[in-house]
Amino acid sequence: MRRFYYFLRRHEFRVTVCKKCRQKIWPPSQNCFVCFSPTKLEKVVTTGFIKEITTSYTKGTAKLYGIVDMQGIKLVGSLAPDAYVGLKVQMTDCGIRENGSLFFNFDPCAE
Amino acid sequence: MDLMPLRDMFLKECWTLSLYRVIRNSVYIHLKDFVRPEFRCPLFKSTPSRIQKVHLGICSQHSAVRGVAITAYATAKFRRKSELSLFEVACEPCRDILANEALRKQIDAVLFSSCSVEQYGSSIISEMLGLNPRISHRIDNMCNSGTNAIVSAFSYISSGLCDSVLVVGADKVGNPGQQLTWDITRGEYGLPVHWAAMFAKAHMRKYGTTEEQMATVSVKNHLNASNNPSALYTQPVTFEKVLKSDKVVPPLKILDCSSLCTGSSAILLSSGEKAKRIIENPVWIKGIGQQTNGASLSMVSDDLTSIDAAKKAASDAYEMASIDSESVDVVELHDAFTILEIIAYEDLQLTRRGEGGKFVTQCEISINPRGGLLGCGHPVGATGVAQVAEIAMQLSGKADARQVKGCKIGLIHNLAAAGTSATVLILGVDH
Repeated sequence: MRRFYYFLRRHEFRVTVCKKCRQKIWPPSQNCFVCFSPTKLEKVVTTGFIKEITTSYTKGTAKLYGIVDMQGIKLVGSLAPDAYVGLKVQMTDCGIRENGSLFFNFDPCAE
Repeated sequence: MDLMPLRDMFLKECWTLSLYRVIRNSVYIHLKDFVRPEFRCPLFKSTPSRIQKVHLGICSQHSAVRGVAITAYATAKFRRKSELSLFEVACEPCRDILANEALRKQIDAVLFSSCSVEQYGSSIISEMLGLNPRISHRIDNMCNSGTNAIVSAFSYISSGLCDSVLVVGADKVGNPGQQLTWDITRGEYGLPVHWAAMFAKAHMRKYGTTEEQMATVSVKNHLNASNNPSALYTQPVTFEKVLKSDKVVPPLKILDCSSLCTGSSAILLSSGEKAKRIIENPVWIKGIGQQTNGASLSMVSDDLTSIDAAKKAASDAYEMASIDSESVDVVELHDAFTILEIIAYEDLQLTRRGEGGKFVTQCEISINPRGGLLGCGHPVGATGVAQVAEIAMQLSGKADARQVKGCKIGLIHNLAAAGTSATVLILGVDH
C-alpha cells in the first residue's frame, strides 16, 4: 500500500497485479486473493464507463460524481458536468488531498 | 434443543452415533457401527453411507440443534451526545437486565458489539457490571456488528460451550472507528450517503421508484418512532417536510438519511432449557443468514438496485427457519437511508423485484415498528442489538403503544458497508 500511495502522490494511478495469474487486485494488496502469489504495482487502462452518477452537496457546492468501471476496477470519482450513465471516460487526474482523502477525476473520452 | 430424542431414535433403530455435526438445520452423522445393514432409517432416502446428511428442519421433533432463546432485553435512550463514557453508556441497558439476580448468576459470556477505537470493552463492561464471564470479547463488523454478536452468541450456546450470553451493543457519536477508511475505492466520496444515493438513482432509473415513495418511508418510520421512548426522534415529520428538507446527495435529502447517535442496547440469550425455566414463552432464534461479499464498494454487484449479500442472507435464514416470507408478521430492517428500506422489501422477498416503491403504501405487515434507523438514530454497534430487542419485545407482546397485534414470526435485516455484508435473523415464539 505504501508504494500505491507513493505513485498516487505523483498523480499516477497504479493497481496491484498478481505476478503469477495476472489477476488485478483492487484495492491494492500485497498478495493475490485468487492464488495468494505476490503482486506488483502496474499501470492499468484508465478508461472506463460510468455505471451510476449523481451530485453531491455535502461540501456546500454541487459536485458531480459517479462510479466508474475500468475493466473490472470500480471506483468513485469526480466527473465532468456533462457526464451521464454509460459514457466512456478517462481518468485525467488522481492524488491525495491535503485532508488525506484520495481523489480520482474523469473526463469524457472518445469511444 | 435436547439431543436425546435424536440419539434415542438412532439407538432404538440399531444405529450408533459416533460423531455428528449440526450445520444450520442439517445433521451430518458419521455412522461407526452399522448393526443392521438391512434396516433403513426412515430419515434416509437411500442406503446410508459412512457420512450422511439429514435435513431435519430446526423445528422438527428430531432436530439436534440446541435451541437458543432471548430471555431478556433492554435498550437505553438514544441521544445525540452524552457526557458518559462509551462503557458507561454500554452498561445502561445491562443494569435493567441484571437487576434480576437469577439472570446475573447465569451469564457465562459477555460479547460487546462496537465500532469504537477503545480497547478491551467486553472485559471492562464485565468488570463494571460485576460479572466474571468465562468468555468475553468484542465483535466489530461496522453497522451489522450487533447481529454478528448475536450470531456468535447463538453459536456459543447451540454448541454447548455456554448456557447464557449477554450481548451488549454501544457506540458514541464522533467515534472515528465508525468510518471505513480502508475502502479507498470510494475516493473523496467516503460518506455512506454517496453510495446510497447511487443505489437510489439506479432504482429510480430501472424501476421508476420516486422521491415521494422514499419520503413515505421516512414519514412512516418517524411516526413509528414517536411511539418509542428510546428513539432519537420522537416527533413525526410531514410528507412535505421530508420532500422540502435540505438536499444532501440527490435524490436523498436530509430526512432520507438516518443520523449517527449515541446509544446502547443489550440482550440476554440462553439455552432452551434455561430459557424455559426463566420465562414462560421465550422468543426463539429460528433462522440465521449471514453473507459477506467483500468490504469495498468495488465488490458490490454491477446492478445497484439490489444487495446480493442481503438476498443470500435472507434465503439462508428462511431455509433454516423452514418458512417463507409470507409467514413473517413484523420486520425491523436496515433503513439507514430510505432507499435501503425499499430495496430490502425486494431482497427479503416481501414483494417482487422492482415493486419496492409501490410496496411502501401496499405493505400489510408492520415494518420498523420501533422507527427503524431513520426514527431511532444509528448508534452503529448498538443498532443490530436494538433491532433484535424490538422484535423480541414485539413477539413477547410487550411493546405497549407500538405493539403489533398477534405477531408470531419476526425478521431482522442488518447491513454493513454498502451492503457488502448482511445479516438476516428470524425469531419466533413457538418452538
